[in-house]
Amino acid sequence: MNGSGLVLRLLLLLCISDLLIPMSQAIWLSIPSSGTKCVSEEIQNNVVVLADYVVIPDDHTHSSPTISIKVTSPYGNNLHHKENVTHGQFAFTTSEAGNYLACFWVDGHNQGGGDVSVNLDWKTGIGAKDWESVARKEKIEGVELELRKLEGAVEAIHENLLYLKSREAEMRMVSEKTNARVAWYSIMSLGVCIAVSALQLWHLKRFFQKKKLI
Amino acid sequence: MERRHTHRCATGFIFIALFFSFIHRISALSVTVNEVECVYEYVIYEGDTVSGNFVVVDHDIFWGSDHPGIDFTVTSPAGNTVHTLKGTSGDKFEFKAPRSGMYKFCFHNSYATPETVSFYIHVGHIPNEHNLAKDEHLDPINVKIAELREALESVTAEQKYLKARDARHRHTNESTRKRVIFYTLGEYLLLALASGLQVVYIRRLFSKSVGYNRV
Repeated sequence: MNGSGLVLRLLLLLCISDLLIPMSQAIWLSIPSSGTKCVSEEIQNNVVVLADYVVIPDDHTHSSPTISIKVTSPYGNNLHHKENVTHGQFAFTTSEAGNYLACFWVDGHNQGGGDVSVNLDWKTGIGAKDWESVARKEKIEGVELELRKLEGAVEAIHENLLYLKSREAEMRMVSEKTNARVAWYSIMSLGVCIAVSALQLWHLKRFFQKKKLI
Repeated sequence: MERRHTHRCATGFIFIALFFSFIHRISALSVTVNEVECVYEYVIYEGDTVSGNFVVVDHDIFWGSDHPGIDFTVTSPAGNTVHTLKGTSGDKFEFKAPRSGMYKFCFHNSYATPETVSFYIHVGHIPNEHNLAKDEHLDPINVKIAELREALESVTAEQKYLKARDARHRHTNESTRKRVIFYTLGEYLLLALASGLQVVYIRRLFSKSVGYNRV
């Protein structure tokens, strides 16, 4: 009993030391009382997105104002839609690459009439990974878990780099094609000019010959 | 019985502690700036380094070189401006937070058309020697790990900046491609039209009703 108690205490110590290095941040948005506030992100295919949102009450006398949220995929599919809530969370895996949009608006239940503050915690990819289950499954904790997280971060960096490289290659191809097209179209435009003026001359010559002027 | 209960409480607390020690990274979100758009971020510790970047993704309005660009201001919780950037289409920023609290990051758009700005903000904390001395539970290795994590974060931030800039360049390229095709076709049509109009005009000059002796 004493041995396991010691281990537990050590674990607690490591966790506290872990907590002293804060890593979680989220942005706050202020939603106007009329109109929608949208945030979007361009996400690749097959990426896990995890988000949660909480309405922050301005003062503690009123009840929290409620908001509505709608999350749409780039093709218009509705991924998450909630009305009259003060907090919630959603998670999905992207099935198409493109712009994912999350829109907030205030319902008619806002007594204060001012802007509503919403705390949005939006995580994608490696940031959305469930380290707790990894720690539990592989029975690692403390420093080893931290190093695992760093390893995950490095892998994510590597993947991002490869993605950027492929995008740059794509863009280079488009640029080269546009460059070739500009050259080709300019020469063609000269050709069109000459052809049109030749046609003009030929038609007018025929016309004047018909009119017996030349 | 009591000891088991305490152990269970401790285990529960540990799992909750582990839960809160995720690496929460905010991704590069985009927001549409009509006139002013503000985002808030809470800085927990004084002296933390707040770093980030933003890129204007819309391309259509950067027609001329006299575009004013957008302004970026960071206001501390005390109300004074900590950092400003004026008239840019995208930049990186980094500053040391003078105090803890809620910081306001604002984008100002002085142009009439709304613009989409993709931004990324990161607050990095490294426990320093002072904290180490105060709290003997803090291991020096945690400081090193925190430094490593911050270094990796800066690489990730740079990648997000590059990705946003790449998106912007892609838009510009697409726009150029469409313009080349559209303008060239328009040019050919106009050329043919002008020449046709010329022919019609000359024909009219020589038509019988006018009298060809006059020409």
